[in-house]
Amino acid sequence: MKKNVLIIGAGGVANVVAHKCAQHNDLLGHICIASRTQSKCDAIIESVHRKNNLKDKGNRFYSQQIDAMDIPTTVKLIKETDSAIVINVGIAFINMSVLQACLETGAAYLDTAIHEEPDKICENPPWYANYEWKHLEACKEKGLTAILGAGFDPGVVNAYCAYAVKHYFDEVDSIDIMDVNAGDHGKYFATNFDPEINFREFTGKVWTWIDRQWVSKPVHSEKKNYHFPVVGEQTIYLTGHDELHSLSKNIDANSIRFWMGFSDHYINCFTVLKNIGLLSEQPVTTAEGLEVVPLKVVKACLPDPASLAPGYTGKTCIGNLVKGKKDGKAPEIFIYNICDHKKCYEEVESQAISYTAGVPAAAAAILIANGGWDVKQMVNVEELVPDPFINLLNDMGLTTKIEKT
Amino acid sequence: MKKNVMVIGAGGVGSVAVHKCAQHNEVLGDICIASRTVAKCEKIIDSVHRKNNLQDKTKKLYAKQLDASKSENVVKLIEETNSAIVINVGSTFVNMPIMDACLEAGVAYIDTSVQEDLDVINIAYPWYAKFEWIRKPLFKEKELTAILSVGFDPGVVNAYCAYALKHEFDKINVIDILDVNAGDHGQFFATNFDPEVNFREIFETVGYWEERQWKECEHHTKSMSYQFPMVGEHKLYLMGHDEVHSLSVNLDVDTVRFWMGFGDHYINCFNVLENIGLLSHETVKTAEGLEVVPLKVVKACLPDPASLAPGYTGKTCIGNRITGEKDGKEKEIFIYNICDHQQCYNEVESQAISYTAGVPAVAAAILVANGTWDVKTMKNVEELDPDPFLDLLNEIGLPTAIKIQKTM
Repeated sequence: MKKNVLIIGAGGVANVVAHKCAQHNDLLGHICIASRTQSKCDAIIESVHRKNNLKDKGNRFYSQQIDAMDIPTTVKLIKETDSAIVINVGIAFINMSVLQACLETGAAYLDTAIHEEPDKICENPPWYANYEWKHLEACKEKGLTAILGAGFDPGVVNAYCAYAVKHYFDEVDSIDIMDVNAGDHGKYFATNFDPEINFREFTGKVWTWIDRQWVSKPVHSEKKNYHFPVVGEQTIYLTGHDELHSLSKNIDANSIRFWMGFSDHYINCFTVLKNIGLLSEQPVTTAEGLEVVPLKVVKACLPDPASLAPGYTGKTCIGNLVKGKKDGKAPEIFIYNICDHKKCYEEVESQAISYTAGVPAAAAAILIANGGWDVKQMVNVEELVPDPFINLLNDMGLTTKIEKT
Repeated sequence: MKKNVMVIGAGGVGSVAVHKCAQHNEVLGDICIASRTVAKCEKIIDSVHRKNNLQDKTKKLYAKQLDASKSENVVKLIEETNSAIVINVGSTFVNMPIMDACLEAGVAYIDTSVQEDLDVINIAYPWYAKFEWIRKPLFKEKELTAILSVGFDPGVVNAYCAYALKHEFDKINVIDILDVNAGDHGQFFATNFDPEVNFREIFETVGYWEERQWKECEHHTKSMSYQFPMVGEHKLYLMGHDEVHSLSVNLDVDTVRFWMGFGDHYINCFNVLENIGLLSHETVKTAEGLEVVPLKVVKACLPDPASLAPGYTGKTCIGNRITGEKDGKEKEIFIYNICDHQQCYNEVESQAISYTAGVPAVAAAILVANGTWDVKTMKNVEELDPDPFLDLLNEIGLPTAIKIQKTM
């Protein structure tokens, strides 16, 4: 049994992870939350106490200040806190530094999104080969468990792929991962997680896996309508996304695509900002000589994603439409989860976007702790046995449903 | 005859003013162009030579560095250059130090828009009362000429009102000033002059003179469609604008309104930027702790207005729809100018928005120089004889046309 967890990051997802780890601290031991801004960690700790989510009051639940870009500092903190598992839910720029610190200390590593470099957008596919998979050998050699992209998407949707292959198909033809937020935050315009990372998803080109090849398309150039369970008909756009970059390697399917729902209003605001150059990660110089990255100014003007949670209503639906062959027939399944913003807020004071990303990371940590997923190497989620993960999520707040046609 | 002109400001309008002064330097004498950034002045001088617009090659055309926010700097440069007329087409935030310098140096003053206060949006009506008109007694006492806001709008449109009153009407009831740019700069989104000044003008509360009183509404809440000569039908929005603030005082009319044409695309972009908070003057702090004014970042991202000129196509139409009475009958006229972006670029390497603002200022300088408008006090344009001004503009690139809409 691995004990003690270090959570790095104090944003919306970290808040959910902290709540969920606290709910299961009889298994996970002491929990430390560390971030650049310690006061944000303390606000999370208060929230956990307010919602009475700390199960075993005998285990420690506390905060530390950390600059996670600094590997020696992170190594020191892992040792000081005696953590066996690090859940990295900080900004995606720190992933490789945190992984390095885990390699040096032997603590298991978990994250929910792919590593990014601040000045590079939309690198060549597969993205995991640019940073993460360069450490495959090192992890194997040290027997280090590292689970990549264990949020909802990427994460649970990867497990859905493995689950479909295992139980429903002899042969998979296509997988369409579809993510819609049919909720309403009541603001003119806001992103549901860090705008810097959110917009980066849509400012490059769309890489998608079609007929076993990478195909590049312009952003928002392809859309369709899909009728979802519970949330109804929604417009979704072909989007580039992390999971395609591991599924294309690990799942034997002809085509794997990712689709995200956007309202016309969101697309309009996004298009105006992008075309004017305000989503650029490259600095501009003002007339007064100040050098500034426009995207960071847009971020400063937009509502803090965490502030959206209290008034958020409606539901998200994320799932995989899988088509293939089974026993000579051509079945089609939609395997999905529905998550309600308001229920999330009532349980952990977050909205559903943060909830769906954070709960799976905590579930994965529990599976590492109890040995089920302690695989002593670096893996993406679809390489792991999906059943214990999906079963655990059913118990922890993210129920899986399957529609067959 | 007054000789030697100093042009202050080296933006788009400054460039047009210098080209036009150079074309008429046999009347205006030596021309000095002064700005904070002397390199911008030198570029304009290069442009004048490139277009061969310097009429009298024996007269000087030269550049000087000037921080016009300090009156004493301006006085010193007026004396050094021996200028008799100052054409102020710099930032509208520094009109008053320049005006005060003209008072001290004893020279004529010309500008193209009302003074703005950097920290105050929505100043009291009428706008001219706060800074300009309180200096009127000083100009009168010293017998110095100051002509306020003599661009196109304000400026020529004020003269159109005076012209209508002199030749077309016994009584005017309603003046609607209509300004539409039916041109295309080919960019996703751009402003035709400094975005900071442009956006300010738009998001201010709209003040207008209707039924002999000041009324207000929020920007882009009142609109109409109008069928223009040449450029066709356009949607116009009620806006606050300089000229309403002098015409309402100087003319005996019920209603003076200003309307500007905006495309749906412009309004959409403006709304997105405004609603997100990107047009704010208030400092925000980035996650990294950098303090920055969002509007200045938007400005840095948008195309430099001067860069739009080479590829600009299409035309502007600016004019006054005036209704009133003549010989006991109701009458409506539209008095206007059409200006072509490409022709402006061919002549002076600017687009029509700068051209229409810069040419009238130079026409006024010529009329001050030759004595016609050397009135030895402070005037808004509608208080002056419009005929010589409109005649001169007909000759120097901005012809006036009149459409009699109906006589009942």
